[in-house]
Amino acid sequence: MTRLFAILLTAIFAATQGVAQGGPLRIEITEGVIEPLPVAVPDFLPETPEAATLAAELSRVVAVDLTNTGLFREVPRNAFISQITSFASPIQYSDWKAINAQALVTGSVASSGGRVTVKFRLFDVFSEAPLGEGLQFVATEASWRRLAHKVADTVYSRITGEGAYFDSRVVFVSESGPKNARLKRLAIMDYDGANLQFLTDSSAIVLAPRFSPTGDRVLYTSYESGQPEIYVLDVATVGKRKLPTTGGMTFSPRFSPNGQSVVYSLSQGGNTDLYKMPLVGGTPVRLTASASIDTAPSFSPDGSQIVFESDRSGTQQIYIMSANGGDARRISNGAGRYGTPVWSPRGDLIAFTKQNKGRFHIGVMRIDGTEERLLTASFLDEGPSWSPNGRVIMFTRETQGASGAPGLYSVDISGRNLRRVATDSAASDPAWSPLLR
Amino acid sequence: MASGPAISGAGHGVLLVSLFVGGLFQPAQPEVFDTADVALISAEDFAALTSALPQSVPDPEPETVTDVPLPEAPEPDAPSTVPEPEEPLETAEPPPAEVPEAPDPAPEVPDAPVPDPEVTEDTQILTQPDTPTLDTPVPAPLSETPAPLDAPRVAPTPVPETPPAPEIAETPTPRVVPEEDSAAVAEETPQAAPEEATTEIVTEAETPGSGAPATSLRPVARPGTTKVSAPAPEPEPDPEPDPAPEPEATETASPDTDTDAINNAVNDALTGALETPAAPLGPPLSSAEKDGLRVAVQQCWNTGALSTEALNVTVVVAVAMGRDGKPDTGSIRLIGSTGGSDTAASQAFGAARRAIIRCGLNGYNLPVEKYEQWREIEMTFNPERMRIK
Repeated sequence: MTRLFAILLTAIFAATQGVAQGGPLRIEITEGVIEPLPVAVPDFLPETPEAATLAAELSRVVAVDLTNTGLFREVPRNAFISQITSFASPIQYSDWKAINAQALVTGSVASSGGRVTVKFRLFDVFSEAPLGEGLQFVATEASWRRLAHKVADTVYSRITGEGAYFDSRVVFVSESGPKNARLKRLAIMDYDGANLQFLTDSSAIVLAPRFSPTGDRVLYTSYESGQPEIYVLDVATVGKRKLPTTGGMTFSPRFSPNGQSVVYSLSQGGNTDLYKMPLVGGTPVRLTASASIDTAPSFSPDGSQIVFESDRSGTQQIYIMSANGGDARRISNGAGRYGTPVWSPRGDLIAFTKQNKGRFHIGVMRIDGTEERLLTASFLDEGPSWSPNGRVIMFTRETQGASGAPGLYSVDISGRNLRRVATDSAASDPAWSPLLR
Repeated sequence: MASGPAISGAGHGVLLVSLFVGGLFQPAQPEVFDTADVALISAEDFAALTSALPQSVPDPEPETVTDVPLPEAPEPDAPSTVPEPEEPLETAEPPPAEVPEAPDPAPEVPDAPVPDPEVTEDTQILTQPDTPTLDTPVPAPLSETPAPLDAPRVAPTPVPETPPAPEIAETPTPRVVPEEDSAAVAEETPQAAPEEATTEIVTEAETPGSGAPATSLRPVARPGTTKVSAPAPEPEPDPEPDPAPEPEATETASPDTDTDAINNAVNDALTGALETPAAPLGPPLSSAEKDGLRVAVQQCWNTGALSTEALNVTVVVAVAMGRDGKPDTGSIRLIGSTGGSDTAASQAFGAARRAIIRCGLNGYNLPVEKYEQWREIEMTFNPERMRIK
């Protein structure tokens, strides 16, 4: 009996030895680090001598685009061990590994007859291989910054997997003058603050401009007729026309995703409701009919739903309804007041302004109202606008006091990388264009 | 005699000289007695450590005893945290979130430029073991004191998640203050912030029991293992019946040699078992060794530059290792992924691959005598806890 038992025990022991051995070692990694990825952007090489300054500036714009996302960190150029002297020559990966550059962008620039050609390659240093194919972009000399943004977009997308967003513009309200006599005019600039142009003069107060889905037109509200009215402005020609609405004050306009209709608020007899109208004119369709203020509408990317702000429950909250109007369901649930909802271009999140206990916040929540996250808090934050890839939010922040002034800020949806967008003057009400073609 | 006063004078002179030389009129040396090493930092230093703000550090005042600055510390912290609140409101509470920062700068050597001089100076005054004991237990109850001040930031969050909260809070807390200040500080802090997050996350991962049991239980139910190990158990039952009839035979033959027969049978079974595997595999890797590998790879697994979609993808990566502990970069391959599109999976694979290569440049710390155990490694990278929701 005991000998049989002993034999069984040894057999089991032997069997477990056999099972434990053999097969690869398996481990699970569940935690990592979150840090900017070091990327090296040596100066792009000029193929012709006159392209030298342009090549250097182009590579600077690429490096700044990447660093300002907060996801990348540029390896300083004075730390480079080997230099890129020829676009076609092979890369000495060990030199780049030594300075911990995990990605390397090389490029060359040629300029002739007012046209600029940029070629670039992206390398994954630690895998010692190119990441994707090299690409070439061509543009007029005046649009050289767009070339840099396109290069940076490709690098960004290949490494992170996010969609591109650098090649885009922002329309906003540029403000000047003292607080009690503010002058406001519409302005448009590249997302990074370059190439600023004014679209209106300061003769009338203008508010809340919004881009069309193709980025060629802007809807905005103006007081030039004495009461708030909606205008459509063509960005290329800077020509504008009033939207043929009737019946009262209209404001808070937004394009539908197909660019054919406008949804807006109409205020009549003390009541404000949402209406939809074809851009070219026609009969407006009433979308809400409640004895409350319904405003700040925003379409879902597929155009089937509208999210808006309403105080029908007593305080401003966020509601979602079908794009044809009808019943609306409330999705905001926390303490405080919610407003200016904007649907993300990815369709997964809604950004909003929240007011609670005397402070303002920009936040995001899922479209069913869950997983609300506040990204900022300050004296006055409002009016979020999404980047074309749904990763970054730009908004207005105003500082308090008599000398307080509004400025544009952007923040990553993780809450990191809150930074000011450089504008020459005070600025508010930003609207981010879609990716330029 | 005239020599009387002379003798007296000489004697007095000798006495006086000896007293001067002998040290009676010198100040008494302080008595030497046993002292315990105590970390002495001023309130400002402690506030600087816990809030990681680039504040100027005055000379540490020796009279501030360790216990006294601690109640004061949250107060200098509190006004400094008020302008900070631009952070994701998954923070449980900022002082506990800030607290883990304090031990981190001291033992680690982060790239954070400005806090560094303070920290390295203080490490001479601070004894390393004291820093964790100072900070970890005491501020935790004290965190309740500034809570009413911090409530406006915490309250609006309807869905707080405490386990990942300190990690995520880590990153913005040091970053947020500079966002109000000059660009120079903002430039520095993005470097500082990730370092804080890095150490924080690694530290949490190193807490015992966080991952060890899961890894050791893993090898059992995979189809891969059953293929390899199936032949191994099969030979086992074969030797088993063989020794079984043997002792029976010997038993019937000679009942007196029962114990001998058992011993023989046991020996036969053991040698049979140990001989069946092709190579001597040796004992399995201990969980400490597996944890060491896991932590080493974790430090290089950077999820900061991944898309939100790629953060939903779990990838399984296989790698062949050389005897020196260095991974064979050509052998790194993706063997499975769950969740997300193919693009997102390739992004996640890229990050995992970089992690394995970067931290394996000098070879991983694995025991050479157990090389057969870790010659092939399959790593599962699960970003569940790193996700942006």
